[in-house]
Amino acid sequence: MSRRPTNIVTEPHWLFGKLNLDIFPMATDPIVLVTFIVVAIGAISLLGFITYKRWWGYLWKEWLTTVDHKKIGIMYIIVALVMLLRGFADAILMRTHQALATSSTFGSGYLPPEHYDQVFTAHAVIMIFFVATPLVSGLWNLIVPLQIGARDVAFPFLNNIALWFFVAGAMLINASLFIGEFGSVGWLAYPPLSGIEFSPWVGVDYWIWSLQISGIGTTLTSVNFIATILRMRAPGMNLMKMPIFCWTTLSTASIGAVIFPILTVAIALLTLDRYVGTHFFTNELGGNQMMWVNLIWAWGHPEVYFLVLPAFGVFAEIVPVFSRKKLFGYTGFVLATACIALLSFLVWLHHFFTMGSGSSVNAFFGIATMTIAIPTGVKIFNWLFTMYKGRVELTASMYWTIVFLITFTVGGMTGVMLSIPAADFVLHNSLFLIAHFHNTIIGGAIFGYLAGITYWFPKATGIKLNETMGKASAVLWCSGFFVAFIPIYALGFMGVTRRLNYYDNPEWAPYFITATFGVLLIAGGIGLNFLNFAYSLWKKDEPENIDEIGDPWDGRTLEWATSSPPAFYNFAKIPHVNELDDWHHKKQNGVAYQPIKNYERIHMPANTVAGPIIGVLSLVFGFAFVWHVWWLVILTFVSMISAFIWHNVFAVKDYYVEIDEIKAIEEKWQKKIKKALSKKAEV
Amino acid sequence: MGHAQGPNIPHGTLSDYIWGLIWSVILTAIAFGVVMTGSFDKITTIVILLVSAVTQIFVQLFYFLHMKRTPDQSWNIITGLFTIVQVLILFVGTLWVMYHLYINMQIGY
Repeated sequence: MSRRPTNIVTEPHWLFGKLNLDIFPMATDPIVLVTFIVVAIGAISLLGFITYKRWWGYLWKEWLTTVDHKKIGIMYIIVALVMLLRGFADAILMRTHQALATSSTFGSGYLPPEHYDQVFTAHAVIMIFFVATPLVSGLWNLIVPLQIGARDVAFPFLNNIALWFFVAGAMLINASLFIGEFGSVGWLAYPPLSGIEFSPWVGVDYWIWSLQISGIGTTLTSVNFIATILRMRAPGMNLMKMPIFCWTTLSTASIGAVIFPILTVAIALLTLDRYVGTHFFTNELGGNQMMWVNLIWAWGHPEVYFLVLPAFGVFAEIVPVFSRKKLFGYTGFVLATACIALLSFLVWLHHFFTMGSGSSVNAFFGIATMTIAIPTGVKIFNWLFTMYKGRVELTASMYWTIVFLITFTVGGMTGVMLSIPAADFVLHNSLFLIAHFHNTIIGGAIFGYLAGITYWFPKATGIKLNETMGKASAVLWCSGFFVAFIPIYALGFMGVTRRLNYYDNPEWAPYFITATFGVLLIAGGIGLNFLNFAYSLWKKDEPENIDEIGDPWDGRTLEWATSSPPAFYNFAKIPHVNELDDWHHKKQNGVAYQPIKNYERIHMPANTVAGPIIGVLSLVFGFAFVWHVWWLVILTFVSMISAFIWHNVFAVKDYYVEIDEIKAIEEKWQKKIKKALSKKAEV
Repeated sequence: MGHAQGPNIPHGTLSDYIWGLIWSVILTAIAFGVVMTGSFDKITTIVILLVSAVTQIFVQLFYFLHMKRTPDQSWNIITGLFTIVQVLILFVGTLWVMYHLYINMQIGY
């Protein structure tokens, strides 16, 4: 049942490259076959439905070519949630396999080693690059321009291209499931295992190109949001009057713009090693595999702060709103954020304390790592003291915040344990580490994104999510997390290493089986999330679900000063900001919702055809590179450059929205506001 | 306040782009040239490579990113310092880490 083809092609055909008829794993692996059938049926019915409804024109005009940051944000979130299902399916495979993979229960599990190795590699790569990272980009896109009172991001075309680079990377990694294989090298593909000598087939090449293409997208997004926040804030909004989510975005984007180029260069060097025969990371001609480990973690550690800082920002938006109090210690929170961002660059070696670099190096990086706990602790107290003596409303968003506070604090403390080099020598590569980072990434980042989606869903769609289902989902996620990962912590102390395909100590089996039940609870949480989206959209006409005027939570920041969903130009008149939480003060002073007296034409960026076309070309480019189809690599590369030049020279890039159109949209919203406000006054 | 193409954001002229292209081609050619001809000793080659790489950065900043004409230089200075700090952390850190590895593990090349 091996997924690795016996005849690996080393001499590519001039026309087909390494492609041939023996590369389809469905032919030999029933699990992949069933998956393929399900995916094929799903894809065909979706495409058929869109064709039947004649939605293609609408999709192309309103979504695929759009430069509207809100729509781009929604598309990021949709694709990320679909990828979450795939990554989670991998998690279920691993957990059930490990529960069965000892002789005391059912023999050696059901996944052959090559397949199992691909599953854990794909799980991690998908969860980090194609779920967590795009959820960050999605939330930024959805909210940041609204919060700073801008009409779009600084570089709308780059924003569209970045989305399509990410989607192309995601498609490429999905293609690897059905065409060829994926890497079986762990998510960071350490050489020499990922080198051509030990991974001669296409799995690592899929890893390389899906990450390379989507990584460039993330660099572009980071640059875009730095420029947007620094250049496009509403008049009067100096940096210290900026909503806290924008501060975490600015810090995170600064991290992203520094580290993703490191990833790009490291992967490019690995590409040369694999394709051209250089030895940057293999032990010949002066190459050194530890240089790869050094570079990849110089990207990888700041990356986890890239993921978690926006989540911190989400909580710092939610807690003040639902405690009916301003954020406790805004300045401290800003400084703590900047501090974490800077410290995140000084800790990467703690991922390879055991490399053998000696005590002075290990001591420096160990202490730097422990230091990060201080600003993070500051934030925990920011949230707690904001709630203290506030009128706390336990909405679904607050449920996510509370389960986050409990879970993440535990994860942070196990992180401090791991930061002690001497302890790390025992815990390195054990399941303790696995439990730790899931504790921070699920408990910190994912809970934050789900909180953000719950909180901003009405802003994106005009409909509130069902509160009961949201709360139940938070409870299931949190309890599932602990049932799944406390046994994993325990196993770590027993000395179980990560990535085991088989173990012959029957005493471990109960722990693995318990962990599997935890995964089922999390599956319930994920299921409820999706059910909630479907149910709330289905019940969209119920009066209590509609967000009439655009401010369902009595919010404090500028995004709630727009309609829900906001007009495509966001603000008919750019607001003037006087203080922090400006919208809250405007409502307090009775100057919110003032009708606009004289409208002006609005200058807006035009949709782009080049963005999605370059995205599709980049997908074909990556695929051709994986399979060594050189003529197609050259063709798609030249076409991408041509499309880019065409866009820059010939495409229409902007237009003006005329006053009549703005007036019609705004007056419709003003009517709704009047109705809602008078209803409120009656009550 | 549309998007960032306001009147105070500088744009390049055609001659800027052409001069930038010429300079970066020359600097790239120098880098390839010294390695491919091998006409200098190792240290001199490395120094020439580093100098042309750093010059290349400034050529790109100057001609392609138009750093010279921005009315307000404060953000350029802050981001410049941030970049220098980051590059130093990565450079010095990597050299330090790899040197210790080299000494402790007795790696012989």
